[in-house]
Amino acid sequence: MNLSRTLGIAMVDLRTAWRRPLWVVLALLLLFFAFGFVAGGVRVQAGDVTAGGKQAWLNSQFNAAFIDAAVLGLFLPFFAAIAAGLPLLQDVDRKVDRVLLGTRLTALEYVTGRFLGAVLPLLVIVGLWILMQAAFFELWPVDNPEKDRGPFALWNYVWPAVIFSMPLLLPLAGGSMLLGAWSRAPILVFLLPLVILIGGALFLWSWSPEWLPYWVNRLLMALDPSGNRWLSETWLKADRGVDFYNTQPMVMDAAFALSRLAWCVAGLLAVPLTARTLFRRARSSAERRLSPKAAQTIAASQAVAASALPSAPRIRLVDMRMVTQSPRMLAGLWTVLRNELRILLRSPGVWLFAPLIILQVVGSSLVSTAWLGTERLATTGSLATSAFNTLTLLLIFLTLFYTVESLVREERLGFSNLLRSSAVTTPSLLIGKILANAGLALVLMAATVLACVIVLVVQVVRTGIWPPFEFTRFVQLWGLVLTPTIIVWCSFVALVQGVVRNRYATYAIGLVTLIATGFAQQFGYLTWVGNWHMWSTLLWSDLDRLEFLRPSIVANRLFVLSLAALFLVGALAVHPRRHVDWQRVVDRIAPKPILRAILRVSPLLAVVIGLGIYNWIQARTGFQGTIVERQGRDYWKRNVASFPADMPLPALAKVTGGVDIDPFDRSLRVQGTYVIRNPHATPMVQIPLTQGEHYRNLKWTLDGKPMEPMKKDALDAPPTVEDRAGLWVFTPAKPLATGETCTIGFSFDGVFPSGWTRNGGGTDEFILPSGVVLTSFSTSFMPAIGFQEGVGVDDRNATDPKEPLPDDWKKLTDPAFGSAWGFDVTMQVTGPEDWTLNCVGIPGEPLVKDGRKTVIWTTDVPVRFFNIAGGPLERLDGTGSSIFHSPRHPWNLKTMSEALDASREFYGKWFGEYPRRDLRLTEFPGLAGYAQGFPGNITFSESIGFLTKPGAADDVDLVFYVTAHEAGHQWWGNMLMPGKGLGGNILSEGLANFSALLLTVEKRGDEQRQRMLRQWEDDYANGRSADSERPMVRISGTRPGDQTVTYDKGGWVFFMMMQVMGRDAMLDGLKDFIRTYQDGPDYPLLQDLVALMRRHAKDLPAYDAFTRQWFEQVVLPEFKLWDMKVTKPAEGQWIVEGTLENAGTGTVSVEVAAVGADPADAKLTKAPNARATVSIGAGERKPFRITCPFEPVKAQVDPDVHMLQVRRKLAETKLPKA
Amino acid sequence: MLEIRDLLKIYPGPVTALKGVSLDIPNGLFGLLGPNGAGKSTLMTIVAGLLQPTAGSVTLDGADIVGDPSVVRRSLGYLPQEFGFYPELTGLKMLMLMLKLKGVHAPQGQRKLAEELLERVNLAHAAKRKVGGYSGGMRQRLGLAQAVAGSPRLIIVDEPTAGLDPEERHRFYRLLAELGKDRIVVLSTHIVEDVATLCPRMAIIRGGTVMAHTTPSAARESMEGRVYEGFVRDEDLSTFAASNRVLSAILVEGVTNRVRVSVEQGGTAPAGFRSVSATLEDAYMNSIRGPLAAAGAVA
Repeated sequence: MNLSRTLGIAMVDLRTAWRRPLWVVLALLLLFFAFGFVAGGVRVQAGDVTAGGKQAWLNSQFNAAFIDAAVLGLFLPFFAAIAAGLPLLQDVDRKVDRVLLGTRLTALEYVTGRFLGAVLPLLVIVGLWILMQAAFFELWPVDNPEKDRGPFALWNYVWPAVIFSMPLLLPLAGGSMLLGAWSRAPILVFLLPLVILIGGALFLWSWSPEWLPYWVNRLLMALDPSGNRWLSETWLKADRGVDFYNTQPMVMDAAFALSRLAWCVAGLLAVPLTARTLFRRARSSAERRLSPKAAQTIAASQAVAASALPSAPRIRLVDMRMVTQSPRMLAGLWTVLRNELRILLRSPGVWLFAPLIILQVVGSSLVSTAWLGTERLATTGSLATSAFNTLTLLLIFLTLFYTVESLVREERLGFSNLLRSSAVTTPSLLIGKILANAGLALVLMAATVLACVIVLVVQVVRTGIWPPFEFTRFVQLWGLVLTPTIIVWCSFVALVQGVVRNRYATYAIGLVTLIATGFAQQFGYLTWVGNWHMWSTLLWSDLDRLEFLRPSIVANRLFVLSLAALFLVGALAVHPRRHVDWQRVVDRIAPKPILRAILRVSPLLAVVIGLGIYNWIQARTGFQGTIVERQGRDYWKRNVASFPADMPLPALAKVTGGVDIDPFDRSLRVQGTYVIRNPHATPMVQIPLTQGEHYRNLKWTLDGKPMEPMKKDALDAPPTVEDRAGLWVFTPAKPLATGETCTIGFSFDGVFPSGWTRNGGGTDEFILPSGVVLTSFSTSFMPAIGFQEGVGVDDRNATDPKEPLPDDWKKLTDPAFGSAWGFDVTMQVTGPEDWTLNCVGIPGEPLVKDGRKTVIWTTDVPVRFFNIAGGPLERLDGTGSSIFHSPRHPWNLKTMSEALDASREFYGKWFGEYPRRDLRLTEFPGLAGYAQGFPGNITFSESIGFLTKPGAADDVDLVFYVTAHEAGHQWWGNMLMPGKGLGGNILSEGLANFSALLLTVEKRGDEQRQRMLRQWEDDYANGRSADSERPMVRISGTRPGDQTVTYDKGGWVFFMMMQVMGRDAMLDGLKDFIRTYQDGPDYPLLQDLVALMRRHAKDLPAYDAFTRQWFEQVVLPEFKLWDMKVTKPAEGQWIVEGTLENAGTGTVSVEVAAVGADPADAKLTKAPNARATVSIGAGERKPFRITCPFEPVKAQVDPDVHMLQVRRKLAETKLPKA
Repeated sequence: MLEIRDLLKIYPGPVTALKGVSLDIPNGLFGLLGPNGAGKSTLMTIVAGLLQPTAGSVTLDGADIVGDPSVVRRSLGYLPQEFGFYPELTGLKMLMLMLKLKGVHAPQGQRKLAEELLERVNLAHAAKRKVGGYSGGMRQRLGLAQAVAGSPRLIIVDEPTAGLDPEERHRFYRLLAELGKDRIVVLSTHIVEDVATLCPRMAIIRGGTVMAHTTPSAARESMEGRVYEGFVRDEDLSTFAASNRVLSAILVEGVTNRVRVSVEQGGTAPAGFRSVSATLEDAYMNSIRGPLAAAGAVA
């Protein structure tokens, strides 16, 4: 290979590389990101998030790796593929390759030169990226340089950039070159980057279920050229603590290093392969590729033609009687469209991208999870929605490539002059092309429908459930919602290409537009105005069916279509039907023609602007809009100091209300009274109540007397009421003495939620034609007592929660939710006749009048909070419970009913008798994915339970588990109301999880308990924040990782506590705990539980050691087995010896088992095992010895899953033969 | 009538491709002769409505092509100098597509018409082969078929005989002659023989300027008595050319050159040269070798 000739070819690109739009745009993009990451504070998700806490350094090697993996992984592939793949094809189109290869230049030199021409600028840009990162990360002013930056080391930037760029750009450049040379189809150049984007970013980088075997995970890491999966799975997913990330180097293991090397080599190998392909193609002709028979036929026909050459024409032109009529717009459009479609469908791209989306949709749908880690049952609507994002992304990219290539195709083929000089109209030409490329969407939509069918078939095989197949859902979601996105995008691309007339510039602008949109989406800048692609906007509910979002979707789509029309008009104006003379254009620039041009498009412009403004106003004035936000801020600003959340509040003594609900216009009319009592020792001067932002015509009474709000800053004599930006402060005529009551009445009407969302998604409470959820936790249907924490709080005014003193838990603590004192509720609920609207308490006889049904509900046991939930539901009665459900979701009812009944029975035995007559569970539309255990009236989103995927026979019964968890809140959250303070919520969620675990063992067996605990352990390991994590008694719920501590670790630790105390003592203690605290007024925190349970513990030193470690400290063992050997001292006896290391924290006693081979039928008989117990402290190594009467094949730490630990999969090893 | 007035085209650079070209082209075959880079293709592209001139006007039967290029597209048959087709389509399908795009109809139907046109350009045998496998000549003939489809009012053929063998070239001449009876056919070429054979009127263009607007016979006659032929040894040719206007020099047997020169009216022929009959090529060579100031001769 001649270096000089090779470099000569490379220099063709390199000479002009500095001004090529592709590189300029990539460099600017990276500059923007380097700046954005510093300005936006993006860094490794580690460190203490509280003010003044330890932070991840900007300039650590791991932080650079975290950023490089994401940025380079997402952007480099496209730029590498375009830069390397297209020039080769361009040479083929221009026939430059033939000229060049006719010289002494070899194919390998030529391809290598082209490869270098693409890769060297990329390497220079990666170098620039390193410098830009270093400059911004080291020099940009930050709040706290000591905490945000470590010592400068250039290597920290260079090493990650090399690791995450080279194995990506070399195979991408080489592979795209090879694909292009092989197929001669420019579209295939984009295959690899799309595979990385769709397969990687949307699947491979994050998909890692707990059950995935370790070796499969390792293989997937090796298969990911971007390195994202390796970085995440090896280093970042389980938080190792900020000190580690700040100071340690990112070390590659041998397998990963080899895979990187393999990717680089693969990229380089693609170069000679491309040369070989090109060489063969250049020397083969169409005829050579014909079969011998076909070639013979052609040769014969040519011979006939040659022998029969007529000296005079047989047909005169005039005899052909040809006439020309300018083709009409539609006829021309149809001709262009058909031709484009023919070309499109013949291109291999479509048939390669279709399997890609099928794989992605099937893969991600089969592993999608919902609340509490449950797998979601797929329905047609949920599938169409969950595939929406992927489909949109893929189609946007594909239509970018297809549209550009389609617009430059005639130019490439030399057909442009013939086409442009033909009589077909420009609109026919351009719209035909755009529609054809949009038609590509149909092919991929069809493929996605097929993917959805596959998902449903797999689901029916696994679960026996086949939800109705509703094709209209695809038409609704993809046909009506997604298609305008594709049309506007194609029009935009056509306009850009028409203006810049350079495919590379168009690609660059297109990619930047997509990245900018993604950025705006990620950081919450998009609303219904800017959200042209509807990414992550739709939320599917089988009950609601987009009813909630419909007005906003329709208006947004109309806006997008009008925008598409505007782009199209622009594209038509600039479409290169002829080459414009710029001198002439400049000479003719004058106000009049410009004005005339504007006037011509002004009607369309007016429509676009009008629809844009309409969307903007609706998003702004909706319940998530800036106006409500500002009202909230005013509320907070005006009241946070005067009425702090911890001020003594009056108690509700009785609630009487009437709620008239019309779900079809989302409205409600409310009137009610609160009997308010002063429970405190001091007189109560003022009574604050918070209204909802949607209340209209709000009227108040105090002890039956109508109240008008005071004028601002007036000093009226009491009784008065003052409107303090939504906080109504009543001042009775005289302060309420201890135990004294007053009655505040109110009435209002309103629409709830009022207006649109800001940018799609769901809402927690609502009145809709598909269902109603209203709770006293918010102000949705009743005013709330006191100042509401959290209203008007955002990043700008958020504060860390108040830190209590060490012994504060011993003081009187307010309840976490609702009132400190139970009260009776009488609620008259009116709604449509055929609806069920459940409230707390016992229903009276329904009264039906004029198509409206009224039911009066009265509580049989005092409550602290209340709700209304319902819809057009059916009822299923169990032995001690009822389920109100949509007829669309019949599949899991039996299991849910069994779980509810079992909960009532067993929780009653274990923790105390259920006090109420009724236990209801009411389904609501999945606009929110939670369940809430209101007293006797559980609200349950359709997304959980009803649509939880039942597992196979040996899987965890998640339907049973999730229902048992929610039923557990009747005890943990109702009968036992936790206190408002650190660790309080663990008493609710952790104990509900523990209860569900016990009930699962009771009804489903211990195997399921082990699986469930392994899943929680995995969720905890991956969800915890090592630096922010505090002991369980100090969990506030506001820090990253608090949720997994509350639920997963909470459930786990209570289970371990039971191992320490013994089951009976534990249950006795919990029963005692509820009995002690159920009536208030002191509500318990976690320390109260620890203190009370101590009374029931038999081994106090063990109990104290356990609680100190697991409740008051943060410990997490990590076990490793070393030096394992097996000896066989006698026939039928084996000895296993080894060393156990606790590489984590905590001092624990753990079992190590030697396990024999699986028996023939592993389901009936378990593998034999023998055990030893090892007590081990943090960082210690201890030898152990196990004697077993069978041949051991593996050693396993904690075989029965009794000890919470991290990286359990590594605490198991195969044993050598004796 | 195709009327071209004061056409000026300046490309970015700036490069002036046309310097105020004016021509009136009536019905019939019109030859546009000129060396490479003379501006012929620029002129043809402007007339075909594919390029906007910097200044000047072009009208076809009074309709303004510069202002509204769509007027010419309805009446245009265009065979550019370089062109291609969709390689994956067969010749027949490609031609049918062109017929649809141009709005060409015939009582016998578009498919039959396409077949007849292919037969007319001797491509019937390759009608069902993909265009990607066509030779250069076959592609040229397919281009010609689409250009003549629909009996357009104006036919522009730019360097049409490049790549055609003598047989096909003659077939092509016949076709153009047939077409030129009742419409405007502009034949842009640097092959003088094509124009001499076919065109009753012609123009010679050089450096963006019309050097002559005449008929082939008038051009020939203008040179009559001024063309001499003789032999000059190869090593003396450059000295000879410096003092004489050499029209052509053909190296014979690698030793000596058969040289044709033109002399001014009443001038003296070089020693040893004899007077010969003038050809159109002599007139053409005289035009393109002479000073640009001589532009504008019209007969």
